[in-house]
Parts: sequence; structure tokens; C-alpha cells
Amino acid sequence: MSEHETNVRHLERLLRDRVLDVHPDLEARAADGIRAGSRLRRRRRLWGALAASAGVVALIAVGTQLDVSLGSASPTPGVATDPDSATSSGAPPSPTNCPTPAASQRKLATIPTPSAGGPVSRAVKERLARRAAHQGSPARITAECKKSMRAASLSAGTTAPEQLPVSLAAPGWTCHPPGDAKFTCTDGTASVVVTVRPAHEHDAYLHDPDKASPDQYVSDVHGKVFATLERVANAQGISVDDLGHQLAWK
Amino acid sequence: MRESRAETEFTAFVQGAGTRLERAAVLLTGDRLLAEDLLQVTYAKVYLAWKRVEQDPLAYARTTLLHVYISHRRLRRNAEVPTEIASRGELPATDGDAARRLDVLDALATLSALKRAVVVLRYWEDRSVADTAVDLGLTESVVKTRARRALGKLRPLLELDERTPS
Repeated sequence: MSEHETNVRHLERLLRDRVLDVHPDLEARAADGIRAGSRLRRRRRLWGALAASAGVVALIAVGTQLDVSLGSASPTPGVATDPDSATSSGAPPSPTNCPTPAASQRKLATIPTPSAGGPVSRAVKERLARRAAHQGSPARITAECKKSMRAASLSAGTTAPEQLPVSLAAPGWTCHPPGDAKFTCTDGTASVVVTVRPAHEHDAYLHDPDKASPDQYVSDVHGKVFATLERVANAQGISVDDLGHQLAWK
Repeated sequence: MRESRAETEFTAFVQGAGTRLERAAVLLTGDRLLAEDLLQVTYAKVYLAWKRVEQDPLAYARTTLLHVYISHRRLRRNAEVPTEIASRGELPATDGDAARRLDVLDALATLSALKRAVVVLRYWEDRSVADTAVDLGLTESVVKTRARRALGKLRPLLELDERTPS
């Protein structure tokens, strides 16, 4: 046996002997690990929810800012002002401010076109054209109005998820706008999430141990879909079955 | 139900591999309390990632423990005095071999974090050079070099051990 191999054998024996008396309380270690892991998970979920909320607020703010900067009075000489544009307070526009198609046509008509003899530069012409296109786009107006109506209805405490075939009609519960076929609802402290799923998964959510859970309510199939309602945070005292029976289908 | 199944599986995993991981952590750190702390962090991360790692949780736990240990050593690099371990005399002597046991820790504490990790993986966990390289994110040649240098540094201890009657 070479010197190197001898040294390795000695080292292996020394290391083995050194830790022979280490006998941890494995039950306690596992319990501590589960507790610490669950705490980490809760913290990550909380931060995720906060980041998502901040993202939504930022998007709304950017959208509003964009709308204000394109639609409000501009000090640049030669650019027309729009008397119907939103105020520059920074608050999301209320649903009543959303223009109807007729109002959009009126807006287009109010944008003064440069007169034939006036000294209007090419840049100003392009800007006027861009603005007319922006204000006259029905798709954009519809999307913005939907967004502002959702925000307004959420702040008013009503159930919002109008795009999904189901909503939660429980008194005292407020629901966020839906995303990816799900939406969360809260009563101020507890939160639950309602997810709309394809009907072919219904059996799995009732019987498959990977998907079925006593912590979730599974609705009946409505057409091609059904819904599950699960606790998210601080909802240990909430009965998901009671709450699930208050799901309203459209 | 999913949570409780994960808890059951995780508990079974800790009961099966916990002693081995704890011993590795003690050899890495030379300090039982610190080893417990690092393992607590490791177990929390393993439990958090259980759905992803349940096929081979031991490999994930081993890698996580190494990363946690190396990060900890980096953070404490300026404050740490390795030879302090020998003077603390905190290790329980369950046989008449206390002097030799302290020498092992003393010698391990003189190694850098990475060399110590290489020694533990190669000569205690009995991992191959290739496996050790994967675990530590190094090339095989780096693992061989580190292992050779670590052995060279530990040689006085090994020669002393040879001369000591057991």
C-alpha cells in the first residue's frame, strides 16, 4: 500500500471515529425543518402577492400617466388642446369618464386640423396624427375602460371578476380582478382563491389524492368548467364549503 | 392532504438521512451548535423544495448544506480564528481518545472551507472525484488538486496518529 493510500485510510478512520457519537434527535430536526420551511413559504407567498399588487398599481399608474400626457393640454405651441381629456390628478379614471364610441368621434372632431395657410411644422402634423389615432382606437378605449371599471368596482367593495363565469357573492368579501382563470377574494383578514378549471379535471379534484384536499371546495360542473375554492392566508377558521356554496355562476 | 403527505415523506427522509447529514455538518463546521444551525437552514430549504426534489432529496440536501456552509464561512471569514476550536475543548470525550479527536478537528479547521468540503466529501462521504466536482460545482482537476493539498496539510496529524497507540 502506498504512502498516499495509507494516509487516506488513516484520515477516513479518523473522520469516522470523530463523529461516531453524533446521534441527533431526528424527530425534532424534522419538525423544526417543516416549521422553518413553512415559514419561508408563507413569507415568499406574501412577498409574491405584494409584488404582484405593486405591479398592478404601477401598470395602472403608467397607463393613467400615458393617458394624461397624450390627452391633456400641452404647452407646446401649435398642438391642439383637448377639453374632454382626463384630469392630471393621477387617480384612475372613473367609469363615467370612459368615452362612448360617439364621444370618441366627438373628440376626433374637436382636434383642430392645421389650416391650409397656417405655419404648421411636419413634426406637429405627425403628432396630431398619432394623437388622433390614439384617441380614436376603440380597442384601446375599451381595454382602458374595463381596467378602470374593475379598479373602481374593487375599491367600492363589490365582486369584480366579470370575465369568468363564476364570482363570489358572499357578503363582506371583496374579490380582486381575475388573472389566469383564477381570482382571490378577501374579507379583510382571510383570503381564498377561486380557480376555474376544465370539466375533465373534475373527477381528479374529487378523488385523486394529489389534487383532492379537505382544505378546498370543489363545485359541480357548470357547462365545460367547474371551480375550486382554496384557503390562501389566515383562512384556517373559514369553512371553504360554506363559502363555496356562495359561488355565483353566470 | 398534499401538505401532510409532504410532511410525512420529509420526516421519513430526515429519519433516514439525518444522522449522516448531521455528522457531515459537524465535520464541516467542527462545532455541533453551528452544525445544527446550518442543518436547520438546509432542512427548511429542502422542505420548501420538496415537490421538486423528492426523487433524490439526499443529493439536494447535501448540495444545499455545502452551499450554506461555504456561504457562512465567507460571511465570517474575517472574524474566524480556526485554532480557537482546540482551545474551547467543547467536544465530549466518550472514550479515551480525546487528544486525537481534538487533533482531527484542529487540523480540519486549518483548511479553507472548500478544501474542508472536499475532504469531507471524498474521505468521509466516500464520494468519487466526479461526484465531488458536481456537488461543489468545480472541475475534477480542481477537486484532485484540493484533495492532494488538503492531505498534505493534514499529513502531520496522520503521522502523529500512526505513532499513537490506539
